[in-house]
Amino acid sequence: MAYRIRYPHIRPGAMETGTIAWILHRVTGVFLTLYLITHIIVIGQSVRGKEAFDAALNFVQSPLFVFLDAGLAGVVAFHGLNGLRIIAFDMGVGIRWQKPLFWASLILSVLIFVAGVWVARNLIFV
Amino acid sequence: MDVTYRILRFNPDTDSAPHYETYRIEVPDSATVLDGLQAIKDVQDGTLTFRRSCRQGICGSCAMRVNDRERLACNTQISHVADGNELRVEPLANMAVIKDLAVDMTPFWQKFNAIVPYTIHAGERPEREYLVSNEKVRHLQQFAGCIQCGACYSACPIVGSDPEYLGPAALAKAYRFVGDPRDAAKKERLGIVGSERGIWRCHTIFNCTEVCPKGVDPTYAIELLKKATIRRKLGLG
Amino acid sequence: MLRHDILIVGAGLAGMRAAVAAAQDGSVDIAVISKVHPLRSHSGAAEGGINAALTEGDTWESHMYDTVKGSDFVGDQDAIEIMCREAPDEVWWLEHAGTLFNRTATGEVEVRAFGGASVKRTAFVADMTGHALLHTLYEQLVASGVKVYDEWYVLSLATDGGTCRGVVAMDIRTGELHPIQAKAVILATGGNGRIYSGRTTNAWINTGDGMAMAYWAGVPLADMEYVQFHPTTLKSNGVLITEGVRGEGGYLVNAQGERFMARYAPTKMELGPRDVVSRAEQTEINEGRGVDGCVFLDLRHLGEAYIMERLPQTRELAINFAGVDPVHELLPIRPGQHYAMGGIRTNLDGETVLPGLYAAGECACVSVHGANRLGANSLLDTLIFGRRSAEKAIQYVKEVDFGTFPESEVTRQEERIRRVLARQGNERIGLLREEMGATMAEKVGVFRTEAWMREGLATIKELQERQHRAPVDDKGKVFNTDLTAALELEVMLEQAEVIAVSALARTESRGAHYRLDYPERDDANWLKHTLAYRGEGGPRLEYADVTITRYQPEERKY
Repeated sequence: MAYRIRYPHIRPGAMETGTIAWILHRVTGVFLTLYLITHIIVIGQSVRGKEAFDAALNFVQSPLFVFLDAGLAGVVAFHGLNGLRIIAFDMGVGIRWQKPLFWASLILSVLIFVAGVWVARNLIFV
Repeated sequence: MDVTYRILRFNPDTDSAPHYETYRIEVPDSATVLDGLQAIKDVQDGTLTFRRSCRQGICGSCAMRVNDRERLACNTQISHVADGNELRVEPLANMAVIKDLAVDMTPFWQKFNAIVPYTIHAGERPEREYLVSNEKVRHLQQFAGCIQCGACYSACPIVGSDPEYLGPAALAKAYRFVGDPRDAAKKERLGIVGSERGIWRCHTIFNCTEVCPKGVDPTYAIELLKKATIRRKLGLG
Repeated sequence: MLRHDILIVGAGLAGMRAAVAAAQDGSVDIAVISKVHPLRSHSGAAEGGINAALTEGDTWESHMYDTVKGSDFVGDQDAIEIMCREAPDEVWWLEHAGTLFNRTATGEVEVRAFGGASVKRTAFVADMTGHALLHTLYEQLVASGVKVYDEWYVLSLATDGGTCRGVVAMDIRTGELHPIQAKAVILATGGNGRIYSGRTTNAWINTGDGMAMAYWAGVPLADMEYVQFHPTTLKSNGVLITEGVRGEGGYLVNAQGERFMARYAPTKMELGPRDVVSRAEQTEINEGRGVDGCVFLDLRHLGEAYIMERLPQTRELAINFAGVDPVHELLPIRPGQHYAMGGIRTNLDGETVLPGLYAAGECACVSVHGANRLGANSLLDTLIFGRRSAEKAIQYVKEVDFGTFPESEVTRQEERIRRVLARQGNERIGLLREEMGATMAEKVGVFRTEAWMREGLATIKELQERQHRAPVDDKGKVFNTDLTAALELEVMLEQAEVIAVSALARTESRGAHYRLDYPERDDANWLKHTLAYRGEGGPRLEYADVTITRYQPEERKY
């Protein structure tokens, strides 16, 4: 029986920059979808009355969730910036800069995440 | 130089699954990966099977995976890629293996044919040449320089997940005609590549560009096709 | 049984041009068969360009004269005239088919200087002209819808009643043998440079299968002693550096940095014909003015931008295979086998003496190249005579029927393969191949003497015996490249003998055939073609007149 090798470039160590960008884009996309579902569930508590909604809000105002929000900011930033990167390519712009543009998107997103953590630590939970 | 080759081998007559076989050989310092394979075949094991022809990087026969990356065995020096004098050699991905390092490229050629890979003229041909600027010619030579070795096709994860995807080589070939002022079938060809199995399937991963041994840059070709398609849809040309 | 009106063996430029031309007729069933996919053919490795009198001030007569002179007057002038007259239209055909020729500032096809030419006459696609033409032809082949059997190895011609009836071929994927019946077979199998294994620019596939097949079928091989050595090949693996490098202004220098061509071809300098330049280099090397068996190509004064526009592949090859960047460094080069001027004897329409058998391209000898081919005339030769063979074959197949296919030929090839697979002993196919290459390069090379050639011939005879003790490791059926390598070695050793025997007999120096013991050209005795027929115990030589129409032989000076 004949065989074929598949996805050789998704192995760690064999990944190129573009592959990392592609995978991160998908992972962040899934993350955003999960967030959206959580968000709808929390907001949705309002239809069950004031108490239920307050309880839900209290729950998500715990330190854990606030730090997760910082992560969310980073994820949104990366997904958005990398999305712009890809749209630019489709318009024929910036293809030669694909690697620096990816690293810039990633670093910016990480900075936004770090800033979020700083805000949470120093401004919200002083 | 002493080199160890670990080669992923498979003989459909006797094997149910591929396995690695190890060979140690002595080669000159300037030897290429192909030189080593040929030396193994000549001296140690005549059953080792691989394609090769020009051994100068122009015929496209010997694309294979060397230490986790698609390369032409013939224009890759062992000393440039060996990992502690060790090479791991595997056949191209995304295509069925016929034997050892030779893969079945039939689907690859079907996709080549699918983009209508020849110039189509409208009207009378001139007595001499069509006048075309040298800048245009040089721009297109980059894409026409593709040797159809299949390295990009192997490296593309989208080809792996969607066997119907036209793939980087065929799309770069399509751009070579779409961008050619002598060709009169731009609209038809954009229609073919504009399908969901064509340019819009590309996720701009750039693996094709990374592994291309001839600097063709298929991603760039695909992006140029996307741009041309968008412009056409917007009525800009 | 598989059956086609016309079967074209080989899918390089000559084969595909023949197929595309034949397909134009529309009423004839055509197929192409090749041991590799068409795009893997060695035409693709041609670099410099294609000659045609395209520009104002150039004429086909001038092209013809240069070619005749380049051939050392042993090329047939009626054939050369046809080639040079038809050249411009062939280039326009390619241009219309989509070839991306480099252009002038006004958008016309540009031409560059090339060896042995009196004016700039070589149209080019950077330094990848062969690649560009091969892909253009393949595009046209796809458009024509011609059936292609790729990765099928043709073993022999099938003849019956003194007529070619088809071939016996092996499907490499399955290892099965198939008779293929055809009214006409066009051989377009290319050169046999691998006979000089280790010292050739040719691909692994260039084993001269077609020449051997025709020879076995009783067709003579003409002028096999004329083996072209290209002046600029890399030492490491023999890869070609195009003559276009010198056409674009590159210099040849020796170890002292001297442009030595001034002493050998003072008017044409680096752009002398290939035989002259190769001998000059070898003389420099032999007299101690080389380094490590090489002289140098100097491109440094051309500048990076110019090199990248016109010679990008050259730079890539130099970096990959010699570890030298010619933008900044001298590139060591030496002469290496490049082209077989000889081959299957044909007339102006590709017909051989065997009815139903045609040949075109490097495997054929029309003869347009005589004793020395000019650079950029080979691509032209493949296209013109590929097309002409097809046109003639079309007429032929409309008048004849398929006849009887000799089943005995299948049995004979089955027997041959059984015998090769059953070999025992401790010789190695690959090592015998290298020994053959080294012997031919040394003994039947740039410079020849009777003693060297006799030694060479003796070694070749010995190798022919020893190969029967070189076992095939791979006994399987699927994609058995060990078996094809053994068959190819058999074929090459037979041709090596023909080359040596033809060269020994020619007691003069002409073009690429240069004998230290007979250094002069001898028109009185040797202005004739060698024809080698297969005989008992070796080649039997006959001779044929050269066709001289416009230009009488004269002293050849550059």
